[in-house]
Amino acid sequence: MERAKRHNIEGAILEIPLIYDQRTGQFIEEYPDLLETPVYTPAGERILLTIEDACPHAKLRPEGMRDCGSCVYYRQSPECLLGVCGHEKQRRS
Amino acid sequence: MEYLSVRETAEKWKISVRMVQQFCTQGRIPGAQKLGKFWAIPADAEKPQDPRVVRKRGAELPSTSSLLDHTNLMPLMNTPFQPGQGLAAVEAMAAGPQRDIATAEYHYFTGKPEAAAKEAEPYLTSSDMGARLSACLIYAYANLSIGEIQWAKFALGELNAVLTAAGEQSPQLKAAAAFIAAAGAVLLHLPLPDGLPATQDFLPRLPSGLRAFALYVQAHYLYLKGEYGPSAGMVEATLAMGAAAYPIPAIYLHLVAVMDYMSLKQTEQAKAHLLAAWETARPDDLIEGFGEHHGLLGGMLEAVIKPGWPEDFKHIIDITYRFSYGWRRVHNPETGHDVADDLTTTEFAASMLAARGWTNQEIADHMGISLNTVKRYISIAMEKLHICRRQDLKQFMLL
Repeated sequence: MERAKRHNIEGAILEIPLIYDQRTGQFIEEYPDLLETPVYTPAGERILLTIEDACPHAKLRPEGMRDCGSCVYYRQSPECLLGVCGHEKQRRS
Repeated sequence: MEYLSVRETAEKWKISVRMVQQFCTQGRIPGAQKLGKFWAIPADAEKPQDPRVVRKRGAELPSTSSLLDHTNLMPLMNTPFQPGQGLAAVEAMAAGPQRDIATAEYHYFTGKPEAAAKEAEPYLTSSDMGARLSACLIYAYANLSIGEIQWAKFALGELNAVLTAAGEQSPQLKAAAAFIAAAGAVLLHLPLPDGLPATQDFLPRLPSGLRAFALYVQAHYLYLKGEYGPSAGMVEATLAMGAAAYPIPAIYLHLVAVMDYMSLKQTEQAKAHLLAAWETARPDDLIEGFGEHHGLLGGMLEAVIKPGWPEDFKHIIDITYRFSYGWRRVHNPETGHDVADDLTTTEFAASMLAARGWTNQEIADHMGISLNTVKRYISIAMEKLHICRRQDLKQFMLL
């Protein structure tokens, strides 16, 4: 049976497969490509990886990097690399 | 082999139990092993010098006149030779300490640490200070790769002890000891040893090849301080002043230039220096430096060497894993810094660029891999390091 970790991202349930890493002896989450296959919250906002390159709509915090996690519109979910983009242009049309 | 306890050794050497325990934990007794809570000390181990005594009486060093000869101080490093003629250069040297040390150098720089350690070992306590300092440096680094960390620490301790003991009695010895001790510390990212003279005080006393390597050490030090431009300038000037004729210093100078230019995001200059280093190194298989510096080269080995020379790349990565294992065992306890220990070399390379502010697309273009592969490497690295923000990678990378 494939191992997976369940995340509730603002009401959206995502099952993220786990792969075993022999080097560290721990299970690692293998995140899907959320750019090619978009996933949205029930409120219609887009779920994205925190490490995605910032999009043209991003408003980056000065101390951050050029990624979603550094954008003021992005809400990071705890204990994972997922979060929700609150920008209007990223909403489900 | 017969072993003694700490108490038995203390009685034999007529010193305190506490002193023997200190020697053991400092790695100053070759072959001493910790078995549970107890130390097992080889019965034939020699009593190390008490560094406090060394400082007081200037150590048991040979007369000043014998310290003025650099013949046996890293002789291969100090020899200009045509790429591909490294072994011939070693064989042309005088039999004895010079050729023995050069052979140990040759084996170390071609990624054969076991042979290098074995060849250096007889000279660790030699009265020939050039051979002794060289042997300590080679022995320390070779044992890092072999995984014999306490022997590596022992040799590094001996380097610092010689530096301290050199005092003011011999500027020439002080220069040689400073050069070797600085190389030992800076390349391991350890604090500089006490009593290290200013660069301008010891650099002019070194012969050309060693001066070039000392400038590499200095450039590496500037890199660690984040002074990438001055570091690159120092490298360019040193190479232009004739260092390119000395293959071992030249390889290391080019590699630190790669580090600098990658930090400055000038990838074309970085690539040019990597290829210059490779052209110098490959005919003699002098690939140790590439493995040692992998984590600082910003994915340049993956981008340039891996596609063109896949078998050599594998060998370099083998060296990286062996060297970095020992490096981390020495580095972490000394400085208390967190260093990414659980990452593969590729995860480390991608994460280091990410920590420097490169986007995923920029990393993908540079390393010649897909965007999704980059994101996979970085996300796995962040999970292993238990962090959720990209900027937190900085605290684990060698920036």
